[in-house]
Amino acid sequence: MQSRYAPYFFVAPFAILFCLFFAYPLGRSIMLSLYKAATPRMMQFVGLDNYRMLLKDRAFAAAVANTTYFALAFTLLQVPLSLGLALALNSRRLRFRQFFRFAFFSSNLVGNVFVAVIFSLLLAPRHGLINRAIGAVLPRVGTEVPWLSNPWLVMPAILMAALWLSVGFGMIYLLAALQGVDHELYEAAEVDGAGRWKKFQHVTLPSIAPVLRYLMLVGLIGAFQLFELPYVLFGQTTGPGGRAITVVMYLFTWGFEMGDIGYASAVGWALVMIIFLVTLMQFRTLYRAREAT
Amino acid sequence: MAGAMSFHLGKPILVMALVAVACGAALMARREPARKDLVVWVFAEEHSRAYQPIIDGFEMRTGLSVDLKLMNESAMGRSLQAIFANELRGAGVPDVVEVEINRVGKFFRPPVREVAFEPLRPMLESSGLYEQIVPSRYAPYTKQGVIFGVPHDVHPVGILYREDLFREAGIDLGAAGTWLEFQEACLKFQAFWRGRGVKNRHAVELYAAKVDYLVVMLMQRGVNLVDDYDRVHLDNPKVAETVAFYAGCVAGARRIAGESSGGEGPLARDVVDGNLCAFVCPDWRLALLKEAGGDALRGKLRLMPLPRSEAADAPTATYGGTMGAILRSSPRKQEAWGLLRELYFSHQSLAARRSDHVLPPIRAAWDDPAYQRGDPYFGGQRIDSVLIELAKQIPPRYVAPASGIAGIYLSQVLWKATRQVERKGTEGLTSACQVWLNEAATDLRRRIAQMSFDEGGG
Repeated sequence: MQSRYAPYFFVAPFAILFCLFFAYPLGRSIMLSLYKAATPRMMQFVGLDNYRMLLKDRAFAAAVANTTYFALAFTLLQVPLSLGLALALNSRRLRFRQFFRFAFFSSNLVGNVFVAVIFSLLLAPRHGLINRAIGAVLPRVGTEVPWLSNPWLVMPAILMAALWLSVGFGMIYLLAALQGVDHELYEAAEVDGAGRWKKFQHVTLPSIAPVLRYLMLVGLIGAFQLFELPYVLFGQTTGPGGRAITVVMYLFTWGFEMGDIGYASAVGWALVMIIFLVTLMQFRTLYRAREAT
Repeated sequence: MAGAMSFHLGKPILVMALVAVACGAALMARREPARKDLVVWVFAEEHSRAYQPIIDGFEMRTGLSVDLKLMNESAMGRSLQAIFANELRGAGVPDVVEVEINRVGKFFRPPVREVAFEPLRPMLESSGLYEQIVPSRYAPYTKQGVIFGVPHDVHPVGILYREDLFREAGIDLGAAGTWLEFQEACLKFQAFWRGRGVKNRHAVELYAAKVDYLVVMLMQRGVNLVDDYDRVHLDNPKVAETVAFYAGCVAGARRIAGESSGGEGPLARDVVDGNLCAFVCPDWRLALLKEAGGDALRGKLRLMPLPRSEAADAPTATYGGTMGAILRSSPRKQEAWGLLRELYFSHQSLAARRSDHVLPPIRAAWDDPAYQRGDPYFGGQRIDSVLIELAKQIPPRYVAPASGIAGIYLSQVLWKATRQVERKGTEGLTSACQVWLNEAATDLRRRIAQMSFDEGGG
């Protein structure tokens, strides 16, 4: 009797917590996305109207475009930058390697909100360090580059902050992967007459490919969930010309600023679909690339 | 130790489990602190500081106990939403709350009878306050004619400028009665200083892609993007004209604007350095600027009314604000009203506000001689008198659930307008703006109709 129920007993805490905090909210949010909702008493079933509205919603389209732009640029920049740093810090000739490793990773410890506040100071016109540096190096450009008020510069500003935060994180993973590459492979390649580039291309890259794939996947999914950085950097606004609004910010605006939980749920599920499709495409591309090599 | 008890998951897990059980037991055994008779939530530290002595007096006089809680503004908004959504009552639920003006709209989504705040007009009328308060100041806290909040303030807006620098350039900015004259004066000012090699001296702080001050200019012209009946006015021709003019001020050959990085500290620094020489200034900003600018700005600043676009426009608008409201679920509504009245309109409350230039919404209070004195910080200008004259003329500002999203649309149109100014100049800009605004208004109306629980919304 005791042994018959024991497995259920051990599984119960997870099952209860999962149902309470994952399955139920998921189911509830699907249901909510089919309603127009203001309060529990003020709910009206609208079927797929919220999703239909999303398809026509220009502001949502802008949020998707902004987020996609960020996600692509972030992924394309983060992985090479992390790899470059990891390669540099993996070199045995470099002194104070441990210090640099910690220094580059430490930005990851402070969190999005802190980084956003720091960058809002760094990018300030006239008084911000970045603008002062630009003014000193390029006097013709001056100290008034409107990073946070020119719609064209919004994404570069967010990207700068996001990369500063996360390049060190990718670097740590890639350092670990680089240190796991079998040295005998390098020796064999040298015997075959391979130069530095050939060794990198045919030994290093294939060996660390799983970590690169992982970083790209995690980076892309994280980038589609961008919220805190632009939210704080642009003072809880959608930024100039609405260029800082992301899908999660849009969800937040509808759910918590305008109180329409139904529409916000629909935005949430649209984001799930977008991430699912992008991940699927990425898997396929990477799978084809692996097959090709 | 053959008899020792073993725990197969290891000691750390056992210790953690024991600690968890002990904490749970302690929490369950803890007695809920008794709820005070009235609970007040505020988000501004200055308000909390000013209210405490008033509350002490109220408690002594009435025998009621009051719990004043200072909360983060966003956290308060979320808590109120949770309370309203789940129809909570009892211990953690406030009786009186203060809500920041920009956050009011979301609470007005349900139909009037379902809004979670108590309609206050009967109480205002029976207390004689209704007639005394600036009428247009009820607008932001009103849905379809029903008043749900009492205004804490008026917040009239003028333009504060560096009189010394404009005078040095031979320009009397205060004489500019229209926005066009203002722009001309600013262009001359900038040309004067550019001629002396001062490259970063901008005449006025205006944002190229943020719509806060554009909304102020629209309010002057009697236009709210969305009104209290959820009607959309984004496609009003005055909006197109104003966007086109504003875009010409922040971009292109006739640009007069620079930007600060936000907040009173950086703005004060820019004003001290002479990078930004005029800015839109609500009454609450004066005390903050005095503190941030210190002696460096003493005697150098003057306040002027907002220039107008047309003679019929108001010489001011309003920026920022707070409402005091009573929750419908409060079991002590009359007592809550008594407390709210004291917090906002008692002599003690009105006196506390005199020193920081923030005008109360009660018109009779403006007759106090303290408001007629010249202020040495502003070169002896009777700055409160100027504010009072403006406060008498403030146009109504409405805050609807869709006001925020309307701001996003306006911001997108402004961006298109500034791009056009940079590429082609201002020719044909008003009609282009009208086309963009028409599209945006159609979209917004569709969305309001979809989200509204009222009949005939949008």
